[in-house]
Amino acid sequence: MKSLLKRDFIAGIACLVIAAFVVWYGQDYSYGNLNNMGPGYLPRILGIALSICGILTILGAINSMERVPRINVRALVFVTLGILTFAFTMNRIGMLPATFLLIHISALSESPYRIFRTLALSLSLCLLSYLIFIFGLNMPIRLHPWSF
Amino acid sequence: MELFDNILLGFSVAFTLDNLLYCALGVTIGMFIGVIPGVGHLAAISMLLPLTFYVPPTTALVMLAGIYYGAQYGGSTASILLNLPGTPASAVVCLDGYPMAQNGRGGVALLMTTLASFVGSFITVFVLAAFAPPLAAFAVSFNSADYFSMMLLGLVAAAILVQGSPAKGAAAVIIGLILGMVGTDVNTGVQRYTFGFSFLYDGINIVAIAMGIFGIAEVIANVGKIKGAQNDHKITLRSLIPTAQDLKQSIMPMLRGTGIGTGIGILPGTGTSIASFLAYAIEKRVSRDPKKFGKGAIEGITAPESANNAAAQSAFIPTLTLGIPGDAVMALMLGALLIHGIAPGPNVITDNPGLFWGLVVSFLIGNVLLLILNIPLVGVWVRLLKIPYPLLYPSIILFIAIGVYSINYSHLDIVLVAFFGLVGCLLLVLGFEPAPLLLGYILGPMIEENFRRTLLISRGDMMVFLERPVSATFLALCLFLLIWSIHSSSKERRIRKRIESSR
Repeated sequence: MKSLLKRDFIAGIACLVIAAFVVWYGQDYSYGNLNNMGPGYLPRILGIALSICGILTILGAINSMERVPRINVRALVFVTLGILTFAFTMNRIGMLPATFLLIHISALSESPYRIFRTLALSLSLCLLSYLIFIFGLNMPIRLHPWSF
Repeated sequence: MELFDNILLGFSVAFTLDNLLYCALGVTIGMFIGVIPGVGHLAAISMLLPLTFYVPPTTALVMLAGIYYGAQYGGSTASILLNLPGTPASAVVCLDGYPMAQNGRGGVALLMTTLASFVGSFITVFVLAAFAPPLAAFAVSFNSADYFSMMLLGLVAAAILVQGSPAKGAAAVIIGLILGMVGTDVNTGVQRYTFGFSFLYDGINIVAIAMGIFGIAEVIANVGKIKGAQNDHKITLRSLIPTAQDLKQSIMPMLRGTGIGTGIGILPGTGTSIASFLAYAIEKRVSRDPKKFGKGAIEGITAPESANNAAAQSAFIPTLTLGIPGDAVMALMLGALLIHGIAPGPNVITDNPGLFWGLVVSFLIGNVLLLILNIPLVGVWVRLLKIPYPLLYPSIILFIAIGVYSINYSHLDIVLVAFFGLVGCLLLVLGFEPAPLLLGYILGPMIEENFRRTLLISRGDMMVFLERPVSATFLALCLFLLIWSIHSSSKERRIRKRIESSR
């Protein structure tokens, strides 16, 4: 069971999974032949090459003791959530409210959440991004819910 | 006299007010990015790429290049004072720079790394001016087989020269190549791996990939880890003054570092980090007293700093002469050229002499500016280290999001950034290096096109790659690199076994 948690073992399995997906999804693309390759030629070659790398990595894991390092799941969740919120709100309610949301959501990655500091940061970044992107570069970006 | 005319042309281009201004802006931003740990130059350049749509191509490149080499100067500051690399390339400076700071010689270390950076950059600019034009003239005769073999060499080098196992390096390159296939196949018009999303028809936006796997993943990995400078570092101008001994001991390491960096930088697929690590390893090997390394040896900071700056400058040689980017930063530069309607390749220098020579002269100006920025203003940069990361990282995320949005005004590009942020974290966890992946992604479409074109012309005859001398030379180099890596990794394994059995 211990060997299953080794970093290189999981890395090798990940290679095999990606390789299998690439070959499986690409089976509809025509293969062609060497003097006139179709769009499916390279995907297959790369899939096979990647699976060889995956197997070599798994074999290499036998001698390695390296475990998977811990990752900051909290930061992962809130940073990603912040970016996605920004992506889906900026066209609807404009850049300034979306900026406000992005800063506050991504600041949740760290505890404690300092409300006043984050508030100050988000307001000054709203001002800064207005000055750079709208005032300075004249980018056609919607600013707030009541603009264009 | 042609060279003289060209340099004169370069001066006339670089000394316009706009170009001087953007050069100064670029190096200052670069310095800023370099000093602060957790903000990479790649993220900075991709954030500022949209800004360059509004200026002429030469000005755009002058600024982007300034960020790149400016960051190489700044990277060592955090390494020396905090034992925390400001850029990946300056990680090796921690080994001897931090002990120097602990011994009260932090000021000397800062001055010597600045000097080493300047020496490495300045010499390499002349190498660039001397070698790029003849190389470009030679490259005009390259055909698709030669291009294929050259890019293959770049990928092999990128796969092998990673830390850790070459199999994982190769896997990273291949995953990059697979990502590069996404979009419309140029030869047949078939949509490959687009999953029906129309925003993927032109391929995955390179800025989205670069910002995701470098910028966002970097932020996620650093949140809660970077604490900022706790102790007060008082760096006075007086404390900067090195002894005659320091200077004497540094001359040769700087020159060796410059040589190594220049060579590594020209090779596609390698980067500034490899240059600085290699320079350190070689310095340790040639030293009469290898034991002092790691305890504050001045050679241990000057050689790598010269090397990474030299590599940052010489990386422009393949980019501007062959149109082949050696790393992700260079790919973004080529992207900037393409946006302005300049096709990268061997004709750039002859068709746009003002661009090439203006850029070369701007490097000279930029390096002098960096010297001025560094030495009298050292206290300002040291104080920058006190900016708390909790204020910094939400700002980075915001500028990444707005930056990628402003390229196509598409909110789906921001979603892609988030997705590649997750991918980047996964790569980090599983120990795959992101740099070879990005190189595979960049070179993938070019490699496939040249491979298919070659075999279309030769009617499927693979021997064509060996018949052309240029192509055969590149393939022989690939083979040499592969054998060398297998040899050295088996040697490493033997040494590891010996260590384990002796325990």
